[in-house]
Amino acid sequence: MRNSVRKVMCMAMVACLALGMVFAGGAKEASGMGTSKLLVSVWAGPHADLQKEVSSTFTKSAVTIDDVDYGSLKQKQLTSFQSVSGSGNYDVVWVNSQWMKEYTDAGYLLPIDGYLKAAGIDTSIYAKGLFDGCVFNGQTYGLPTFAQTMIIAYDSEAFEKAGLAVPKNADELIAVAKYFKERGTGIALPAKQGTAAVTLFSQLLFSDGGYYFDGNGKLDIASDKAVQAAAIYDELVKYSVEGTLAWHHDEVAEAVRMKDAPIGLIMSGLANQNADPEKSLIVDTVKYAPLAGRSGIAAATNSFWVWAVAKNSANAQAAADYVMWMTSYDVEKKQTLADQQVSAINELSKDPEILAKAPFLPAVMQQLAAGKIDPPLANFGKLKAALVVSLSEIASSDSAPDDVMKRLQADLQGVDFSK
Amino acid sequence: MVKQKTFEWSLERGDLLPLLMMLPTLLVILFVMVFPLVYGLLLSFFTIGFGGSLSPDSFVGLDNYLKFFTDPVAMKATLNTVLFSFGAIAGDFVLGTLVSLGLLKLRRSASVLIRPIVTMPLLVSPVVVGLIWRYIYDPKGILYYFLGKIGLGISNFPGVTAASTSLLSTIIAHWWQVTPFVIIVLTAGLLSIPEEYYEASKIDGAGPFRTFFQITLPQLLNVYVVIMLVSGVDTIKIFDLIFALTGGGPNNSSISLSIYAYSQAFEQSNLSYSIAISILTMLLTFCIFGIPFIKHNLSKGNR
Repeated sequence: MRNSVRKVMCMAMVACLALGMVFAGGAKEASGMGTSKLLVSVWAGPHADLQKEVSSTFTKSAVTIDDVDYGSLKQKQLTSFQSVSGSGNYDVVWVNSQWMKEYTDAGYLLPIDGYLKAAGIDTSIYAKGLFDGCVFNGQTYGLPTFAQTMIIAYDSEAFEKAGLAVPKNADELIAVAKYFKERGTGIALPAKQGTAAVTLFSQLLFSDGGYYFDGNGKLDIASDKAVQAAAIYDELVKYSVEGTLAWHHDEVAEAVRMKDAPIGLIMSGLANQNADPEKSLIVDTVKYAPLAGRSGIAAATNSFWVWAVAKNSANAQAAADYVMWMTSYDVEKKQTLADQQVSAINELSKDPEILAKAPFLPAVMQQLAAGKIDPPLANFGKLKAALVVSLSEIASSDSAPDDVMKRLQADLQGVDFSK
Repeated sequence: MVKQKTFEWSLERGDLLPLLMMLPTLLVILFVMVFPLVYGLLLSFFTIGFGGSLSPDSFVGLDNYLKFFTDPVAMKATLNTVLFSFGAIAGDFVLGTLVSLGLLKLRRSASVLIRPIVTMPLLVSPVVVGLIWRYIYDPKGILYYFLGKIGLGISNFPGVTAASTSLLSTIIAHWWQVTPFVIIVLTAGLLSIPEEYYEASKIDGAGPFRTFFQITLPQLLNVYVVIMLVSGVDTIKIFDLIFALTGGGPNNSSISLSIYAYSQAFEQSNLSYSIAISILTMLLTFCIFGIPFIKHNLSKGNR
């Protein structure tokens, strides 16, 4: 090759490398010019489109919503938290309540007490049990929204034909499930190996006054109440529709609204699809009831989402303004009327306009009122992961529930659940 | 005496320009592969979660690695991963070979139509493959529709709903997706076998089975080795297909090492143990597929 050509090529290579290094950090937006921009992370659930529509009316900032499927959401948020501020990381995150302890311990979220006080926000409008799930070490790290519980959804037409009454406790629920199973269908419930089954188990446990730990904070997952909850779960799976062992929440909700199952245990956040004539065959016949334990009391494992500000946000004030706006009475009411999502604001559940649109709301609020939150303990994840597998064993094999729960208790004996 | 070559720094006549041409690629490999691997290896000697920092207090040495060998779920995941890998590769080889040979026997007008259809699953992402097969395995899905025609049902083949058949069900879905890749590579290998060999075997009176085992198979050996290496690495790190189809259940019957590492990192915040699992997975891949491949290449070189 001619020497001059080689020289030119070499210099071009070096220049490209140098330019690449310079621009590798990404261009920075000019600050102080025009409206601020916010990047918001949400779950790509059935409400994501509405969140985008509502967010487009927020005038203080230009909001971009990044909706991600549930399986990748936490992973993406964790990656964003590690990023340099202003490098395209999330400003606002929609956080599952079960992740709050982990996020606050790791220092990923910004306390917003100062912003709430400056804006004159009255946090007593939120359900106490849910708001408390946003407070850690005396500081508020977000505002609660989108509460969900597992409720019974059933086709009233199928029940009328069968001459059945709505089940008011676990035994009646098992009897109804058995009735339909003997006639070719059964109850739809999430029995796939995963956290959905744990949500169901926990709700059955809490409803009969049980908990994961005893009064001294020691693990008590083989208690009479825990074994009873596992046994109820086992019976329900026995009388479930074929295929439930591969179903998570979405498949269960679909089975109920497509009439594959006359009764199902669905997450309330998916109930709005039952009223959509394009997605549901039970628009006019669907009814709801609380999911009660053997005692007849219904207590939820309170699951909700939290609007929070990422600590590495480059627009903390704008992000806090957005969070306060999204959880305000008017915006939450607008969203509930549009797609029947349940907010954390107490007064909204008494609004007749809302009750007309969300007929499942009374069942949800009844369960939330008596509900409990999973404990914010560092090692609670270990218990949950182990419960996932144990419940899968109960559902998919002939193992006796009390044997499985005793084995689980023994396996986790050495784990420290004290902090 | 042979003069030893030394590095010439001269830009015009020396070795500097080739090095500079390779530099961008080397830098990418360094920053995207080598540095993360080394940093990950370092993290695996500590006990931290996301957002944690390296400190003397969190140093645990080889504890994460020792924990792996006493962790029953990790052992189950290892067994599942190896079984999945061998089952998947065996099926890919057999089905790929049969389909490749069949396509070559077809008339050109037919193979032009059928070949693209048969290789189409390769274009689908593994997650979507998992979702497609989730619907196929649904009791109301197409699989049980056809099984019902011959008097079989979910009780005969529970598919993804039973621990006994969940891993096999994921392997079948993998065959559907990856066999097209094997077909493409094997077809290229088959077309490179000289026609004279088959003519000679015909003259000698060899039947189709003898021809296959005595001529075709030995000629395709190097192709199979390459496919085995590529498929082997792909199957050992299997994640998306199993995650979408079964989530690793029921009862951890289809959990793979990658899924277990994921759950440790993102569900239990046990980042360092998750990295240790990933590094051991890498070593497992090297032991099962890398070493035989290197031995094969060395024995080829010695011939």
